[in-house]
Amino acid sequence: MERAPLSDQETSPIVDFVKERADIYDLVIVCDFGHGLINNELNTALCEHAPYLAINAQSNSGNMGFNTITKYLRADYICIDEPEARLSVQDDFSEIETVVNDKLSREVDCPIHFCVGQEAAPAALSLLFHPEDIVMSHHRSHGYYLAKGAPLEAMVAEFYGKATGSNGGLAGSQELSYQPANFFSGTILSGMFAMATGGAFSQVYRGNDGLTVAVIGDGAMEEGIVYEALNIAAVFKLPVLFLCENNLYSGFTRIDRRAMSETIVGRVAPFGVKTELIDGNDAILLYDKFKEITASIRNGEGPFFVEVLTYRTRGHVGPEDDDIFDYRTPEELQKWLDRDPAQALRSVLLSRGVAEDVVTAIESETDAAVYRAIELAKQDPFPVFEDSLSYNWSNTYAPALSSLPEYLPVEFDGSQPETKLSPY
Amino acid sequence: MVKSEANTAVNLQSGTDISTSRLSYGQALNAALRQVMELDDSVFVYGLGVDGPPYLFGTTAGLLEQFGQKRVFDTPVSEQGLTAMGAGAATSGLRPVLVHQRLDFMVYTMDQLVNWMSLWHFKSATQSKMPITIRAIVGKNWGQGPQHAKSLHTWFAHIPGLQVVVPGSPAEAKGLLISAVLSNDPTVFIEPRALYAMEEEVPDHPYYIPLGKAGLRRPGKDLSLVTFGSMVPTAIQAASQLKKKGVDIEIVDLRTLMPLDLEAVLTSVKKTRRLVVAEPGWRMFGAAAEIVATVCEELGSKLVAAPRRVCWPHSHVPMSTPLETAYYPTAEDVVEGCLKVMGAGSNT
Repeated sequence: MERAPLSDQETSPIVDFVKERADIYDLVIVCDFGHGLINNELNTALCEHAPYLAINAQSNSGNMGFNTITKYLRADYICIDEPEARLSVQDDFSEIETVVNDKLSREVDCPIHFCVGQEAAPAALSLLFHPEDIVMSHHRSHGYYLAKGAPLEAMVAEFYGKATGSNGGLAGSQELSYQPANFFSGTILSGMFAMATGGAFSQVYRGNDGLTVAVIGDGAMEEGIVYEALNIAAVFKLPVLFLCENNLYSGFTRIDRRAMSETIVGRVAPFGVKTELIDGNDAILLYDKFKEITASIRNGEGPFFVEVLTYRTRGHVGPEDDDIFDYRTPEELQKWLDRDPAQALRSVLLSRGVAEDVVTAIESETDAAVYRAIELAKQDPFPVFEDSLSYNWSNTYAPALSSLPEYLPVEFDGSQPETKLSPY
Repeated sequence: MVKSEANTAVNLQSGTDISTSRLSYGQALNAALRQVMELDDSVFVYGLGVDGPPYLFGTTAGLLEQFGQKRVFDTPVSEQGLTAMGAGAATSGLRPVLVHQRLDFMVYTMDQLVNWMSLWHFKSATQSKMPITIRAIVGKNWGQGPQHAKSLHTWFAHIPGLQVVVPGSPAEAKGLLISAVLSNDPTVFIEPRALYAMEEEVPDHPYYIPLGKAGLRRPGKDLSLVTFGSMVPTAIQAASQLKKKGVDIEIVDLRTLMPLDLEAVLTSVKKTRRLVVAEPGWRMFGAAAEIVATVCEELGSKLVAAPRRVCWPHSHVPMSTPLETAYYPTAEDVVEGCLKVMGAGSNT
């Protein structure tokens, strides 16, 4: 049997076939015997186009153990035997349960809060951001990170804990930040409303027309600091867009068990902040509204609070889904799946005469960029532990310090009486 | 004297011809704020009462007139929100100085300090800075009682990423505050209210004192007394009393608990082989314990006597005047601690 990689001429018709046909089927089964057929390009095409991908990747004497399941960028189902699982993670001795549960499935080993189902608001805002604008986000932040123009590759590398990650692999998905794009996350949720007042203050202080967008969820609206922040922003008339994504759940606890109203906007107006309640799954409506609202904020008219009604169609925190815990009804989930914002936008575009080819091309390019980022992240190096130990303090100073002399202590008269306090 | 590597070091004892003024601790803080605001226009000062009489015990007087409302302003009573606002401004390139009239109010802000600000630089892999200074005044005398007189310096020093500064005299308060405000790391700047009226000659021009470098308050050969903050004058008084008894102690003023100048402590103890630590705070799990533990680890076999601590009792601060007087360690308590260590040494 010939054991050699495919040539480019051999690869392209197979890749084209997969790209053209894989989407049509409910299930794609890959039987990979490891003799060179499934190269990087075909791997990417399968992972991008197969709606449900089942893979059997064999390690055998023919491929001498070089062919492992870990080369695939994704899979919905895998079928391998125990030696193949052990080979994949280079572990011959641990319990097989450890190999499968802790090692094989843990390439991305940090909590990830997907924004699937909630993409419309960040997508709409992405068209309205200026470079000097600041975003301070909760940890369902991927949409806002990308909306602010921070690089996709660095975000994915961060998920993998790699040195090339947006945070050098030290923060993970739930504390992403990217200073060059003025994108921050990583307070314990409600805090971002309050931190945003400082971002907005810096914009007024500098005298630019930037604004700060603060994003939290409905659960965080139940913490006290939120109301301090709304008050501070109103009193100082700061350019903040407070955005609350009401997706009905704080973890697994539904809003009707946490508050007396399923909407939040009514709690905010008494602080002297303008408010609006908007359908969070209608990207075009959101764009129109945000356009007006951001213009008013840039115009110095003070803070604005927007509640968007939306829903996360994946788990609270993954990568895995969590519907086995039965905390929401399948009917509720289906109702929102039917209102998926990306699909809704697709329908609108087609109905307005945009050619399907154009839409499909955008979708393919996006998928390809994601898979490329995953591929790159897997190859990137991990950060160096010793380096991380030196990151706690910057030990740096403003330039003005270097112009100052250092003071050396003199003998101090310690016999002076202590201050006796009075009210003032 | 601690030797400085900087060519421009100011040493009043060397007779360098520089102009000075006799300032109180509070006035020195005021001078520091004014000069650091002149040096760097990204510095702003905010907090309850900063822009009006009585100007936080005089420390913010004159700032509003000189720098305007943009850079000096009063605020709502929202400790958490204001700390978070400072964090947001700091990561966006400004240098906030937030003032709390009592350190106890900072307990509201532990989420901001511990969960975000301390780790902001770390978790950005050094991309983001957090140059904020939080001034916190520790009450003492006038029946402050159990709720308004705590000094939680060890809480802050325990958290990687925070700096903790506790100046022990006016000239040091000025130089350390300028350093703290110009530092790119978050700094808790603790001011013992009991020192506010104490005076000394303070250089008129702006200067800095390095954070993480202890000061030698008094050279001596018999025993190292390590201290900081409000116990610096107490230690100096104790040194005078001990001198009369023929005991020559060295006083090491830590100035900053984090960064901690262990080298200065170890250098001193290597010479004297005896250690007392006087800490203006609770005894258990405190800074004194950390110093004693480190000295024992590094120099244990070289010590001629077991180290001792002189701290607040592990009990809340009582309000009633006689009890309050009994509560705080005095120069006599420090003398007693030192003599015990000297005595123990002579028996070995």
